[in-house]
Amino acid sequence: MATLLRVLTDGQVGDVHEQSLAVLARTGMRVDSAQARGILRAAGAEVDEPERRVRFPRALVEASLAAAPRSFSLGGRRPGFSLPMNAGECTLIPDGEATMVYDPVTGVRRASTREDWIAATRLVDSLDEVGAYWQMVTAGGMDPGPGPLVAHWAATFELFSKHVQDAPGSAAEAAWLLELLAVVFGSREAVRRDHPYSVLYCPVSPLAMEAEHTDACLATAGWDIPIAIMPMPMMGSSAPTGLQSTVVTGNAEVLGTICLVQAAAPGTPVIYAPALAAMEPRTGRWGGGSPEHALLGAATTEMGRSYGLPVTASNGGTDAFVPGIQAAAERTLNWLLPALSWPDILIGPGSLGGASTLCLEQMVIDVEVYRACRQLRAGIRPGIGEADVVAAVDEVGTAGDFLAREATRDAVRGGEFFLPGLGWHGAFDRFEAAGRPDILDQAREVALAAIAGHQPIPFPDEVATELARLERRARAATPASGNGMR
Amino acid sequence: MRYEARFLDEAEQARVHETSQRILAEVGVRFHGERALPLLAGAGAEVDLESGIARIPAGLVDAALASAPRGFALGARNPAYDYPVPSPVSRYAIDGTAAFVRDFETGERRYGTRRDVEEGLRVFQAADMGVMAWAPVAASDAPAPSRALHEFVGMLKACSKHGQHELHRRDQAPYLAAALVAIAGSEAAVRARHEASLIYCPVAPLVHDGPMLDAYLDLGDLDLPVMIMPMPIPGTTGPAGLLANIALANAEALSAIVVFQVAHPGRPVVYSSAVGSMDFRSGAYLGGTPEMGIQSGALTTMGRFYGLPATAAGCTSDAHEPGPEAVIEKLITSLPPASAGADIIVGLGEIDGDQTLVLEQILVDNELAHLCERLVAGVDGRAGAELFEDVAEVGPGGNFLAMPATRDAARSGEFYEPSLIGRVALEAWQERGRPSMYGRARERVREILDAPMVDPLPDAVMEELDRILAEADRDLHD
Repeated sequence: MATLLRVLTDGQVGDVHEQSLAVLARTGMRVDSAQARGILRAAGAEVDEPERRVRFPRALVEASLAAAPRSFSLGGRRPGFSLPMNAGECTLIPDGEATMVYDPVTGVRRASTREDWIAATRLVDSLDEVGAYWQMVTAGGMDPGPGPLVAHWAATFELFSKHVQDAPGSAAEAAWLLELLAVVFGSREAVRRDHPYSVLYCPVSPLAMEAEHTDACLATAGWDIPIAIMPMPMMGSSAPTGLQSTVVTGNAEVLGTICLVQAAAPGTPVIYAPALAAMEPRTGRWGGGSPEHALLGAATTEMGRSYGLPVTASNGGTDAFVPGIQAAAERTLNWLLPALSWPDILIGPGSLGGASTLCLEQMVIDVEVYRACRQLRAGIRPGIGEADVVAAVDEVGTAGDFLAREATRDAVRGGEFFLPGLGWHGAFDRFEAAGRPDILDQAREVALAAIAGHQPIPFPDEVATELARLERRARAATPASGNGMR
Repeated sequence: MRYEARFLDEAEQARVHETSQRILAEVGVRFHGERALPLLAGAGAEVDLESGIARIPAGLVDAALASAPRGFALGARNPAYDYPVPSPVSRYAIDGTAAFVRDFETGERRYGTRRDVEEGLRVFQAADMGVMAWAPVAASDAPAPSRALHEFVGMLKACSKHGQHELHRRDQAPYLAAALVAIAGSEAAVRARHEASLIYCPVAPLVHDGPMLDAYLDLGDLDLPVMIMPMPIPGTTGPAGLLANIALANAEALSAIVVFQVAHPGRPVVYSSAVGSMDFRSGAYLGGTPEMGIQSGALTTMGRFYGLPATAAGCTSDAHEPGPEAVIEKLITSLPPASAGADIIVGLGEIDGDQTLVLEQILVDNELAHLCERLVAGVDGRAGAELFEDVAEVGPGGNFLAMPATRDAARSGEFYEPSLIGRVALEAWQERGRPSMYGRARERVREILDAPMVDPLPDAVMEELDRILAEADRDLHD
């Protein structure tokens, strides 16, 4: 059987749902967007306009949940690429929006540059385990305005040909984005059909939707662009203390947002994606390294699955600022449970210091950790190896060995054994003879080789030409408000 | 709830049991030594004295399982460390009999000595998640014929928690019995307190070593518990395919339970395993793999299937140096058996495929054990845990920092507070000289080794133990 993990009982899942409905009906959410309040009022929500408070009746939440599709696929530019949601598959999406970089050459933590962004994007495009993209690091020094933004988005799709998830910063930015999507993927209909892009929407915890980001999200309505709803309540500060109450807070925020998304365009795909967090109680900081994040990440998957929705699960991160022992311990610890709960998308390799610092070595190490977690999740599969164990044991007899048996060969080739891609797994003598190789050096070599050798799939000429034309038009346009996400 | 993880469903548990029964009845197990085969023949097994193979019928397995006690306490020299099994929580044992130690002063990898046994266990004594001592290294400076005795006695001197080790020869048994009586005060106390136990590893596939088994059967008169730890490796000494290898390991464990119960009905046994995997690119043994974790979780489940105390190897790593690879692999191999509810996970303190003791690693692993425990404790689902009224009071856009429930939770176990992992801001971390987990562990190890030994034995007992060991050195020969 596949390894089965549960961190919430059925009773707790039911309690979280009921409490979430109670929060939405009694406290509601503050919705700063007048457009969103209008949509919700028309859908049956109770709106207190002066307070900008929206209260959600049970019937509205349940109808909105029913309207959200249970299965769809995320596409990409790469031919044949598809990530089916709710289909038993899991892929990685890198951690996002670091402002600093752990320099792979000097080992110094410094502000990020556009070159870092290019390197990181090329690296994740080359990694099979990473199926979806977040902007991993800010491309420092980018000018404001729609022109540079359009150029940046075009470069994103050029360098990364799998699924892209991002967040336009305003409705005006969203308009440019939709135009660009139609160019890159051929048409609005192709975007609707293949879902090559999804919007990341983050309510502000506790229980608020701010205006500009919400309007940007609403601007994509009608394109059938999936919305990943990612509130980030933090236990003890922006969520009440107690893991379960943090789950309730995030769940209520997702459900409230689903009401808005479905009211704006019924049937729009949504991804259940709360990034639940725990405060460091001695400082009030968030670092993501504590084990509560693993429990919260697994609980996220279980709640999303209880609604039959696709899930993005978070794992926190690491408090460490340099790649090494603490980072490895915290990343592994915090990935084990969310990976075993097996969401559709798992966040996110590659960052340090509470997601503040991009680290290419950590990206490679994290992917290796995920591979090991995936093996744990695959569990003990009947039907692998010897068809008749008793007969095989009898044939080998006592004190024999099974090395030369066909079933052994087949099991090795069939994935029954994890074949590490990183670290040293040979004998000590050979380890010494090889100069005691260090996993960080090895990860660095893997990353730099991938960045140097990977060939992104180029745009067809006509797409490149049309994108250049769009960029020129955007550079000539009035700068839009909003800050994008980079 | 305490979270639940399952590695074998009920039908698979039954299949493993049935397959193991068929292996025992149809293939049989080879028993070396003088005592086992006559005992098994007398109990109803089909014994071929020429090949040494005993085929064990299902009825004999069932009878043995019925006579094995369901629970008992692993006693400790300091009763505060008594550890009843089965346990509602998972605790840890230090890994054992590594050939090498990473010298604490020089960093050099060298052969282990009696002093390393002592120092490793003094550090382990301070590891609050540790409940069972093993001799962490082989004492290469002790004479080979009495080496296991030096390790066993050295372990019991240096650590007042439950001690478990092995003997290699039947003629070592009387010396161990004398040492245990010297420590406990009487044979009755040895039997009643179970302060020491034996680790027993069948030789995969399906073989029992004669001298070790005879020694352990002799020591049954003292009711010493036996922890049975099969070690088949899928693809070499076990069939490829995890389920098949689990069935073989289970068969080996059951065969050991049978022989120990036939000899001494009611003797405490612990169901365990240390089932790694092989590096198919080199043939090397691997202990830090996901398959190790899965099999430990599954075999813990099988121990529970039989209603027995269940432990497993875990917290293991193949890394040759302390560092990121070590902690990744140790977590991958700790959490599955912890999730399955193992009473004890054996593996603290060693790397290099259980071949190198690192003193700092004992404390680093203790921290990892705490992290795993926090995970397994799961989401508190008691009534009122949703804190709905707090949400209603704070409302949209506020914060919960000043709520009484936040203060209470910060003082409870809701947030785990690490002792070696640093969580300070970057600037503070830099000002403090960029401390690391291993750096903090190293400082603590130094403090422990500079302090007096905890719970030392009385001088008279120490002298008696030295006398017994000197006698063994003198009288035991190759």
